[in-house]
Amino acid sequence: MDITTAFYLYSTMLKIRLVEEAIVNEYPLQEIQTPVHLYIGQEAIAAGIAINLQPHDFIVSNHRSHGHCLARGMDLEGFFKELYGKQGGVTSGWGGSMHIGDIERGIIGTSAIVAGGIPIGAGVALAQKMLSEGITVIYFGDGAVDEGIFWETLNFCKLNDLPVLFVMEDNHYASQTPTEQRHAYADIAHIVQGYEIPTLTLDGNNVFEVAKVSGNLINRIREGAGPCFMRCRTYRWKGHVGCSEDDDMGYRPAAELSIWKTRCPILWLEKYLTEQYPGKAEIEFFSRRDYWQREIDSAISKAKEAPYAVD
Amino acid sequence: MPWTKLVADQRRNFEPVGGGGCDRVLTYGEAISEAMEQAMEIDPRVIILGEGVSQPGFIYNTTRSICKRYGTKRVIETPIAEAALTGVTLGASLAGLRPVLIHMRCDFLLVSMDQIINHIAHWKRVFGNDTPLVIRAVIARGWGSGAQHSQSFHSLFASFEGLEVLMPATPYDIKGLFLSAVASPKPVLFLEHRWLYGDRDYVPRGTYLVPLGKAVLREEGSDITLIGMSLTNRDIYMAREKLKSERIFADWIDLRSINPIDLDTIYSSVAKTGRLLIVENGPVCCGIGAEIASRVMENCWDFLKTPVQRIGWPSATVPAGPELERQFYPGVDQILTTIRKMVT
Ligand SMILES: Cc1ncc(C[n+]2csc(CCOP(=O)(O)OP(=O)(O)O)c2C)c(N)n1
Ligand SMILES: [Mg+2]
Repeated sequence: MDITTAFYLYSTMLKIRLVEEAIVNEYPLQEIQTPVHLYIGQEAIAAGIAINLQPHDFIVSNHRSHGHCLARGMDLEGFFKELYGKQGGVTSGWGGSMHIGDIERGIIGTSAIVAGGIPIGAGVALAQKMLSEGITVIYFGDGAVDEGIFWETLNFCKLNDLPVLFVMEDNHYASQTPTEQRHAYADIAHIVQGYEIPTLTLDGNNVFEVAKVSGNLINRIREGAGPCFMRCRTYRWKGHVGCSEDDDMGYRPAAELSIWKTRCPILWLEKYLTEQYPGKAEIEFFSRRDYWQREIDSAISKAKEAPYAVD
Repeated sequence: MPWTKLVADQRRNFEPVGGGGCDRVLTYGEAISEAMEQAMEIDPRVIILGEGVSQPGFIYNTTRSICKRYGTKRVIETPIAEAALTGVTLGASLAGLRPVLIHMRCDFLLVSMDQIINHIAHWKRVFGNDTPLVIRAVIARGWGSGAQHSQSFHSLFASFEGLEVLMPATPYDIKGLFLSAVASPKPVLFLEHRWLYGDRDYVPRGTYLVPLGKAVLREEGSDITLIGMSLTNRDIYMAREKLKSERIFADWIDLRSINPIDLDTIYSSVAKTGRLLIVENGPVCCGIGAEIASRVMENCWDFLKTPVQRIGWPSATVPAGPELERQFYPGVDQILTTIRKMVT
């Protein structure tokens, strides 16, 4: 990975992390009145894929969409205004955290119905194939593949060679239910491969791997290979919804979260960059953090000052 | 059959709220939890299915006790596959079980619309076989739940005579109606409201049935008939208290059953008061209130002193932002204003 790209990836992941942490800080004030599904721990996936997208590409996402949308370039101020239910929010206060979108910036929309966005993404890709250009990335969780509509869409995309990248963020849980209790199979990749869809399983916490794999698949899709599928292994740090780590609920094995925290995608990259570019790396970390923190603080204070969205 | 005794014991004169010789208070959530436990105890054919039924959280704590007591054989954790699971529920009911399928939100029902309507609602008419199943779904509201997490679909399902639709509003009712729903040979859509979960009421310890298809006259008055359902009963209660000081007295009917509608109870009240206001827990447009209004017009025309009025949501899309939400939901004030206009 070249140095510019590496620091860019770092910057995107950091932006997402800092935004989510800002939400964690703000949430107790009860001014953000919308259920939040935080992306902390999964940042490498959104960041790694986003660098391979072009302006005419689209993404479709789910309830855990902050990272996908921010990596794609959603305006921070519009994002926070939406969370606060204010005028100027990306969906004018109608959507809240679960329904952010900005079609001008390549974000078709987000569905809070599990798997609800998946066929919509296929439709977008159909239009792209027939009318214009570009590809569509569909983000979904390991829970979404429980739904029949996922498999129906997969089949349709293959039948029609649609330019779709399926990105499964496998964080091992759907709400509190682990995958073993929901999937009769161990490895979805085998099944998807049965459709003759190029399929790769990867470490979703390694941003270089995500960027490289998705880059290759997206190139193939652009060349007309039809849909491709990525299963990204990852882990969410916070509870399913809200800002606490929900360890007290008892559905995750005791050490699981702390083990995954040692695999923090951002720490991993910091370590790598520090080794590769000693001295320079620390300066970059500081200046990016400083930059994003200012941007976020300013977006939040503008959101707080803005008038409420009304009908 | 385990349910026959209970059905035979059915109290014919349902006492509206409270007391009834009972000294124990439960919340709405505790009452449904107890009802499920007792249903499973009475009848080994009762099984529970749903996403999260055995996970911490336990569907707002309503499946904790049954999980502990009956374990995974009769309390079945499911994938997120509402459409398939609804068909599974139907099939199981046809072959001897009494399944109860649970959804955390009413909104997720739509994923299984085909099985509910094309299959469940028509099955008995077409094949002649009973389908004793219950689908529990919880209506939510507030905190930006928005377009896909705070809808109320009672009216959407109300035109199918093969599907009973219930909206219990009190702890007493939720327990008695649930037991009736499980006992019934008909399929029942059982719509709860998340905001009612903390409400408290006297609830008998033993099993009892509240009849399906029956509204209840909660309070009497001669000036106007108010119909509430689910959460809107709360607003009606508050409005009614305020109106007493203005010497306006209302008959308050809690609809309880959306399908069938207990028209007799409504007609006899309207014949007395000559005025009817329906407070819908959902969009006004094509709501159950529209059906009630038509029926009343067709059958009580001579008694009506003023046009039937409806209050409910201004649109079917629920907004998320706090101020948009506040504007969206009608409340006590709107009820009061409407009643004052109708009565004077
Ligand atoms: C059709 C439907 N069923 C159930 C839900 C409730 N629900 C919301 S998110 C979720 C879990 C989704 O898990 P996954 O797809 O793995 O995404 P993650 O939250 O892990 O990112 C569930 C069950 C829903 N929103 N829609
Ligand atoms: Mg998941």
